[in-house]
Amino acid sequence: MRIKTSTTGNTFEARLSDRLTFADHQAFREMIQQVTTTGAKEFVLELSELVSIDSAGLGMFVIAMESGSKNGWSLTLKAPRPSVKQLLLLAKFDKLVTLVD
Amino acid sequence: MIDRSTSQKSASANFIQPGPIAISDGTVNYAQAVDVIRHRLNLDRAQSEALDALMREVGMVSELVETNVDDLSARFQGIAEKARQQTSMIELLTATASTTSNDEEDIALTEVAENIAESFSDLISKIVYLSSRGVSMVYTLDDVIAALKTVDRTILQIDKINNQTNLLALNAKIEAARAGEAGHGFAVVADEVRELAKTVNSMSSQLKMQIQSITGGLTKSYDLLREIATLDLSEQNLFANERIKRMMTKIISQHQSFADALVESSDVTRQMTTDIQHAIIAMQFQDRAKQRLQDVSAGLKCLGDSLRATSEKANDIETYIDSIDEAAVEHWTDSLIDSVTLGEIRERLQQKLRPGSPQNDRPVADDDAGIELF
Repeated sequence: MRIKTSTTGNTFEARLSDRLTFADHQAFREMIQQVTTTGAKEFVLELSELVSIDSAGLGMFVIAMESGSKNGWSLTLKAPRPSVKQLLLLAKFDKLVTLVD
Repeated sequence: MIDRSTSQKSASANFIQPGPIAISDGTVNYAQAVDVIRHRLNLDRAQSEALDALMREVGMVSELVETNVDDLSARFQGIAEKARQQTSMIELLTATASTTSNDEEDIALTEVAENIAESFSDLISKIVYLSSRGVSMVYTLDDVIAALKTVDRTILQIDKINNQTNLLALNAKIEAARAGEAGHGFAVVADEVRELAKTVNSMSSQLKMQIQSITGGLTKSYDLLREIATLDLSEQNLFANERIKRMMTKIISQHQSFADALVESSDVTRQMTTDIQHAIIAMQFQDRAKQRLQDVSAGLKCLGDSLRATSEKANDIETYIDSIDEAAVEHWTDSLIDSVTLGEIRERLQQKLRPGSPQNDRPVADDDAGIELF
């Protein structure tokens, strides 16, 4: 996985690309810590370049959501590809976080 | 017309004596006329017997028809009842074919498909949650390993300080030797310090080994957690979900065809039931036939009775001749018509036996309205 981050106002955006798997857990954790450090109110994960995701990757989204609840920011999953979106819907992420096209 | 004026009775033979009898345009011998009448009366007797026999035949035919028609009706009733049962069973089958049930309630198949999809979705959610706990634990292990590395670095510093302590003790001992007797006590202290340094060194080594062991255990747990947290959901599971959806759609469509066929079958069976019921009603012609046969029988009996009554007088021709009454024919015709219960038959008899006379006003069964029950 590759991560490209940017901050606009209260929004911290991270563009993820390639595959999100267990191997990326350290980088993901650091990214979450960074969101809290910058004091952003909204964390947008831009997924248009993300090709696939495994259960650990989805588990990291859950951790991000919990970290956001604890540290005062909200999580938005943005523009997932159809296959990734299907998986997010199957795992009911549309009921846990904001999911936008 | 018989001319009785020339006839003579025999006191001994109870027989009419021969004599001229005027018949229309000529005369015949009286004895011949009596023979003709006797012959006629004997014929009447034979005919009345024949009528009795024929009446019994008619009765037997009526019974035969009745028994067989009753049997047929009963069988048709049985078929109609079975057809009704079949309709009920098909309707029950139609209702159950499109549902399944758990312990408490019936569930439509379309709901089953939704339930499976929902259950699958729940399962994936739980897997994702489990993975998130796995990753969380990995983060905690990362923190523990990081803390252990700090401990490891601290031990290295302790080792460094211990080495310096050892060297300082050695220097102290050398300096004490130079001082001679005056430094003797100082040399003892230096030895003790070196012993302490050795002990610290040994403890430090043990600590390093234990930390290595703990780090090894944690690394193994780390690998296990990675296995727990990692499940490739991207392809095969999505395909599995699609496969289940396709299968359920197919099952529902098959069940719909099945249910449609059952409904059609139920309609056909219902039509069969109606047809059979009509057949049963049509078979009630037997009642009408029986009524007619009974009337025919009654008419024949009346005829037979009359013949028998007349023939019984063959032995006493004189009495018979005396008893001849012009009104007898009228009375007999009345009794014949009265013996008939069906208005339709009675009307035909009236027309035949009394053409042009008014209808008998005796109440009759109205056989035009359908079946007469009596």
